[in-house]
Formats: sequence, structure tokens, C-alpha cells
Amino acid sequence: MGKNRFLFYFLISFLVSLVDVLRDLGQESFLDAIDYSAYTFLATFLATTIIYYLRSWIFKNSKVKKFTDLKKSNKWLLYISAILTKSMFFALLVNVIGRIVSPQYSSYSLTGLFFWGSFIAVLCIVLFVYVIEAFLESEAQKREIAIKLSNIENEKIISKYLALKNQLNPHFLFNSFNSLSALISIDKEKAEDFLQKLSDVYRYNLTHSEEIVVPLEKELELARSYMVLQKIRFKEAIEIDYRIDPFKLNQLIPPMTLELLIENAIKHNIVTKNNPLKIKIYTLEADVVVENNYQSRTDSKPDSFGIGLKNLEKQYRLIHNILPVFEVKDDKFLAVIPLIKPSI
Amino acid sequence: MITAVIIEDEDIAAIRLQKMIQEINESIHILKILSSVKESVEYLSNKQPDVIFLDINLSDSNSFEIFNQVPNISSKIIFTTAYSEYAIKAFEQNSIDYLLKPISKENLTRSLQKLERLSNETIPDYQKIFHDTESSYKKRFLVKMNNSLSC
Repeated sequence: MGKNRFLFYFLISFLVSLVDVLRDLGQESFLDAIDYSAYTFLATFLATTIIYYLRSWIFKNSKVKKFTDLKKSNKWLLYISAILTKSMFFALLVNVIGRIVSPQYSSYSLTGLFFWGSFIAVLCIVLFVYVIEAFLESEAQKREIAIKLSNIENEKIISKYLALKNQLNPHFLFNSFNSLSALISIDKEKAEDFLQKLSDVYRYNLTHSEEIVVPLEKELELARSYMVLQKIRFKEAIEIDYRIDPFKLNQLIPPMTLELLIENAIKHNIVTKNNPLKIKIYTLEADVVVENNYQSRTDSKPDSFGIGLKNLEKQYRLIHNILPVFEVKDDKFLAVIPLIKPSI
Repeated sequence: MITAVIIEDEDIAAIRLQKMIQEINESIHILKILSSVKESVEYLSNKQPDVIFLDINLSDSNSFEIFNQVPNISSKIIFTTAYSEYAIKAFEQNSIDYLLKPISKENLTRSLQKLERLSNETIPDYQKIFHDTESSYKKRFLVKMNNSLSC
């Protein structure tokens, strides 16, 4: 029993005995009334406490729980029988005690007035405890549900934040800022161009990344802007070649696909003047292929295609019946991305 | 005079850093700009400057790879990186500072002052100290508590 609940039952017992005192004041002297109500107080308090513990003992039992969880009527059945049994038991107890303490006072039979009077009184106390406990329990449940909901909400916010942060690509952003600050003092015109392309990339990221698919033409525009930025950074260490069938420009792929594949190629391969990274983007029947010479960095993990490629595959699973293929063939890394025909 | 090497895979960034260093402190002499782990390993195996400005992500690998291949680098290291995900790993090396790109003049000035202050003293070899002290302390102590003994 919690401290608050203990105090609550204490107070209720006190109020009951106070009512008893006030009632008795009509017939008895004040001292007699007080004296008698001390017993009332003790009895009420003991009864409520015992009923409380019995109740929690019964309803926390795992077998009982299974039984009540089965059907709602089971719960009511159990409640009613528990309340009646307890009332009967305590009424009998009161009668037994009464017979021992003052045998001359009343008739203690099951049909007698005293028995049914005490039965009603005990029933009132039991009902009172049950109603109060049921109320408190439902309140606690509500609070628990509210806490659970807010936890779920929190998790959602965190995952959304991580997704957004990922979308922002901080490593790329700060690297670009650094290049820009260098360009400003070295080549002003190039700096302006760089800033323009950087804005294009981020604008595209913001406006198109929520869409399910975008035309290949748009994706190629982004790839070109992105490559201008990387070309300033890597100069002759990176080369790109586009071979696109103009009739396929209106076909669709998920947004940021080409950018992701170029970024991946840069991330996982050596990009130096002596070993330049050569990227090719070309259409082949119903696919667009991003190909690069495979020269793995010593710090890139073998056989891991990374979260980006896995994500792309997941996206395709949802929207198309053919999946992209990633493979290493003849010292080349190939990403074969199926083109989706616009439905109209 | 302090000798320095810049290891950075983006040449405009390296040029800018060189310019900034020379503007702040003329006595720092930049010997070479290196752009890959391979180049750096070849260079540092023969010659070690007083200080290395080291970009973490290089065009052929992670720059920590340099320390694996040339284990006896005694130069002081100032790390430069665009995004701070390796700060703790960086401090395992002889690093004296960690500069975030784009590098500001104030931060670079602060690092160079720190460098000058430290170039007269040597950085203690914590690894060695750790190994030396490791076996010299007691592993267990016998303590008297009231009337009972406990380890």
C-alpha cells in the first residue's frame, strides 16, 4: 500500500468514526461517544486495509488474471462473488466477536437483525474500497497509456531527425563550405558557379526527395550539378561520361538515385590523379547503369554495399517488380537501375 | 623555424590553408603538400617535419592508415576535417589540435600559438608511461575494516 493510499483510508476511517460520534451524541455523553468511536475507527481502518490487501492478492494472482482476461463477464462474476464472500465473512466475524464480547446484548443468529445489519455495513465498506480501487486503477492505466504514447511519439521524432540529418549530409555540406571559402580568394567566378550548383543540389534535395519517382532528365540535371562540385574538388582525379538515349529521358527512377550512386563511388573508391575514378552513366534497354572502375579504398569494408544501396532496393521493392542489381564485374562496379515507364 | 607538411586531398583547400598559415606566422616553413595516404607514407618514411596538418578523409583512404604504416611518426599533428566524427580517435595520435573546416583564422591562430608553445617541450609518450606503470601498482589491497579483513 502506498503512503498516499494509506493516508486516504486512514482519513476515510476517521470520517466514518466522526459520523458515528455525532450520531451517538444525541443519546450519550460526549466521553462515551468518543470512547466507543475509537473502536469504530480501528475496525473500519482494519477492515478497509484487509479488504484492500485481499483484493490485490486475488486480482494479482496470475491464474485469476488469465481467467478475467478471457471474458469481460468473468471479471464481473469474480468481482460480485468476491464482494459477497468478503461481506459475508466479515459479517460472520463481527457476529462471532460480538457473541464473545457481549453474549447478553443481542441474538446472534443468521436470521437475526444484528447479523444482517452488520452484513449491510460491511458490504458498504467493501463496495467503497472496490469502487475506489477500480477508479484509481483505471486512472493509472490511462496514465500508463499516455506515457507509452508519448514515448512512441518521441521515438518517431528522433528517427525523423536522423533521417533529416542524413538528408542534409553534413560531411558533404561542410566540405563544400570549405571548398567555397578557398575558391572565394582563389577564383571568384568559380566560387559563384560553385555556390549556384550547391544551391541547386540542396534545392533538389528539399523539393524532390519526398516524391516517389522523378523523370530521368531531372535526375541527370542533379547529377551534372553535383559533378561540377566534385570536379572542383577532385579536378582530374574524377571523370564522368554520360551516354543517355534521349527517348528515355521521361522515364522514371526514385529521386536522388544517381546522386547516391556517384556519392557511393567516390566514398568507396580511390580518387587520385594517378588513379582517377571514371564514372559512366548510360541507358541500356530498360535500365540506367552507373558504372565505375572498381579501385576499393583500403578503409572501405569489403562486400558492404552500404545503407544507401539497401535503401534503394527497399524503395524498388515497393514500387516496381524488377529490382536494381549491384555487382562487381571485370574490375568494374555496376549499378543497374530499372527505368519505370510513366503510366500515361 | 618550424617545418610543416600539409596533407589534404583537395588542392584548393590546401592552397588556402598554406596561405593562411603564412599570413599568421611567417616562420612556419611548408615543405610539401601531400594528397594521399600513399604519397604521405612515402614522404614521412624518409623525412618528418615538426608539424603535420592532416585531413582525416583522404582520396585513397582514411588518414589514420598513415600511422599504421609509419608507426614512428614523431611530428605533432593538427587534424583538419569537415565534420567532427573522429575527434576522440584523433587524440590518440600526437595531436595538438583539431580544426573544423571551413577553418577560421582565429582557430588556426590559436592552434599555431599552441604549436609554438609546445615545440620547445616534447609531448610525453602516454603509451609508454601507461605500460611502465601498469605492473608497478598493487592489484589487490588488504584492508582492515572494523574487526574483519576483506580484499
